[in-house]
Amino acid sequence: MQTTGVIPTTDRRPRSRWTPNRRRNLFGLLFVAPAVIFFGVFNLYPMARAFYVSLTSYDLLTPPRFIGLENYAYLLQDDRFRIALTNTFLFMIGTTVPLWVFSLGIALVMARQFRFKELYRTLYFMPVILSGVVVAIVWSLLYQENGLINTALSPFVKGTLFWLTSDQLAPWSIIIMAVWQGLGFYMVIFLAGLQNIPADLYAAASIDGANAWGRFRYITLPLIRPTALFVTVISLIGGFQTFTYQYVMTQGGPGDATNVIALLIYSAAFSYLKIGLASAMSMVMFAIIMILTLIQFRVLRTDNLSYV
Amino acid sequence: MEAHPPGKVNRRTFLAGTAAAAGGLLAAGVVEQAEAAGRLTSPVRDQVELTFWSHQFTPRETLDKIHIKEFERQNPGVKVNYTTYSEPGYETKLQTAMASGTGPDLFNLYTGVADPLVQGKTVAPVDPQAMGYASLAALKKQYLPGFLDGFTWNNTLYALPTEVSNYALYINKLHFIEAGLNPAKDYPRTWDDIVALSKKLLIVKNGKVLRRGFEFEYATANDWTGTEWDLAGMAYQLGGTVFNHDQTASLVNSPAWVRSLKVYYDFVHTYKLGYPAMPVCSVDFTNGKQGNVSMLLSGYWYAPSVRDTNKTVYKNLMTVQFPRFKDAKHSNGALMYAYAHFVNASSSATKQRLAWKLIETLDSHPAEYLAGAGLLQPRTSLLSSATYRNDPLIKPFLEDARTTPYRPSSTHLSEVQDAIRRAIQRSTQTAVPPQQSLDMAKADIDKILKGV
Repeated sequence: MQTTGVIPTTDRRPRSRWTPNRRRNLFGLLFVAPAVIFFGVFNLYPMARAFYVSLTSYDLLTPPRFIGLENYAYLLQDDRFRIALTNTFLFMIGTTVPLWVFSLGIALVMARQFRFKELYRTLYFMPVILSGVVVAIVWSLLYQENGLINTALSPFVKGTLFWLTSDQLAPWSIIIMAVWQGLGFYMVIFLAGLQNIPADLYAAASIDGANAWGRFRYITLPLIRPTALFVTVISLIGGFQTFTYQYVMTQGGPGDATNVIALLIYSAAFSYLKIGLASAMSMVMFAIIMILTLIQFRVLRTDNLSYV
Repeated sequence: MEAHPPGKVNRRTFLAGTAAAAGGLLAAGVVEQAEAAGRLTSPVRDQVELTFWSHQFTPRETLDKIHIKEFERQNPGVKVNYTTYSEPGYETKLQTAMASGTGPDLFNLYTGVADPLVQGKTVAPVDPQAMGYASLAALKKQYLPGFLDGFTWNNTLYALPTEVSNYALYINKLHFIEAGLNPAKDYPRTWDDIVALSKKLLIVKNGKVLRRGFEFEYATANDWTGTEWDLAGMAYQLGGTVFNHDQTASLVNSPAWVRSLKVYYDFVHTYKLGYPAMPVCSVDFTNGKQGNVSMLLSGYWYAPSVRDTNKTVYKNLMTVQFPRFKDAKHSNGALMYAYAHFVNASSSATKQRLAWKLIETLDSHPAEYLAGAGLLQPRTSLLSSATYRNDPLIKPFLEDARTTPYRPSSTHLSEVQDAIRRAIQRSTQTAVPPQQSLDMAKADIDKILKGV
């Protein structure tokens, strides 16, 4: 019988386990391994360890003693924790809402062309590059009874304002300062988002008769949603984690009027050596931030966003 | 086996190369760690290195360095690595270092936060033989009677004082003279005197406070003296205490405490002589030519600061004892506190002996530390020194120290102190009535004592 060069149907060579697909996957794993190991060692492991420590009574100097959920039970009925949580939410909302509104407003102005625009942009951004500690110390001096702010307000305000020693005013004093410092950062982010919106959309809208508010509402706001999501997430997380201002300016006082979660955690861990309790508070803080972030992603999701 | 195109790396070669690189990095790290450990323990053959930590206080550091050099000359082969850290971060840093086993061989520490270290058995008892004394009794004879009580836990002496401190009343004599008063006769003895004199010394012009007669510290973020223990001292004068006898409950809302906090409260809100929103102490006492507070409470260590920053005020300073209540049951001042030298129990026996020897060197010059740094080391030799006899400011401090107890010893002292601080803040800054404020403090402290 003539052979026609057909390859035998049964291939007796052993099949390699390392198919091209598997090799590609292996190389991919090897390349991401350093980052994954780094993340595991410096993120996942500490989180798992912190969760374990939150189930113990631990003062660093003696071995941890397992106490189950006692730390969490304590937090549920602790007035100081409740006050700190309330103050933290107040600070978070008190800073983020003005930051969104004012930074977007200033970004809209900065997106136009006018004289000395770069100078104004720099001036707005300058507080951002200052250290939080420096800002807090300077504003502490401004807020003094005989400080610059009271002196400037004295023709308009009867009596003295106790910016940092009044339990009513102290939280707002810190919020005002925080908004002042953060404004430039979010302005720059919004500006970048605004500059990504195609100009011809505005042109087309104008031709179709849309006024300034219409263009803002139907073009700017929807198309700036990804930027807004980023700003929202970052500002809320940053607001919830506030520590420096309260530590430097008031130490959480007067009473607990400006005490926030991060400051309470710091005191519990490093002043009182209650590491277990501090870890439990950290876990609660982590859970709250996670929930807030998931809510934001759900509310501000941008998967149906398009320019068409 | 397939031939691979030239210039391409095959899988086996890639994996081998990666493993070799990782192994090389690991080996380099191990070698580096070994070399570093070798450098730490024996930089030079047979040399012992002692690590010594302290908080920053420039006048004391200058003297420490002189005596450390003296010690190194007397002990060839011993090197002292002396490092100072700024407070309040220093205490946190030290506690975490001790907990992780990386603490120094000896350190200077405020005794109020030392309780956990002692209870955790991380510090060693005093070794009198290493210091050159035949016995503990012989060592204790070097100190004024009763002053070592604050360094004793469970009947064991664990530390030796680098300074004991209490607060007396500093007076700017120039302000008294300006107000038509005679500072030598008219100085305040009681809290009522403080109020009466403050009214005469206060200057307010166009609604602006130019000078305050007296100022408490109101536990704001910038306060640098322990006002909680001024308040406690006042309560002790009236028979109050912080804890009950077995430290299972707090007594900070007793009538003695309420009456004491009412002095603060009335000073600010009733008499309008106190200004919690204005800074106190160092800045204002030495502000401008004459300072703008006439009287304040501070430790003896404050005097060198005034001397170095405002010679006019320093020349016209006088000190008198901490004011009393007219009907006080006990004649005491603000509760005492101290800084002390401790030795790390994890250090080797050789290092521990050398550490105690160094401590003896540092603590044998009480007159120098008094004159140079304003620190009172309660050694008997201090009383016979010319420095002490000729010092016009020290005597009220020592007189009060003889009759004043130390701050109570407790593992929870930092938390308790903060609870009292918040009570002072509530009453002075937000006008919460003293009884209510102290009831809240008692509730906080009882919870602290109950623990988690």
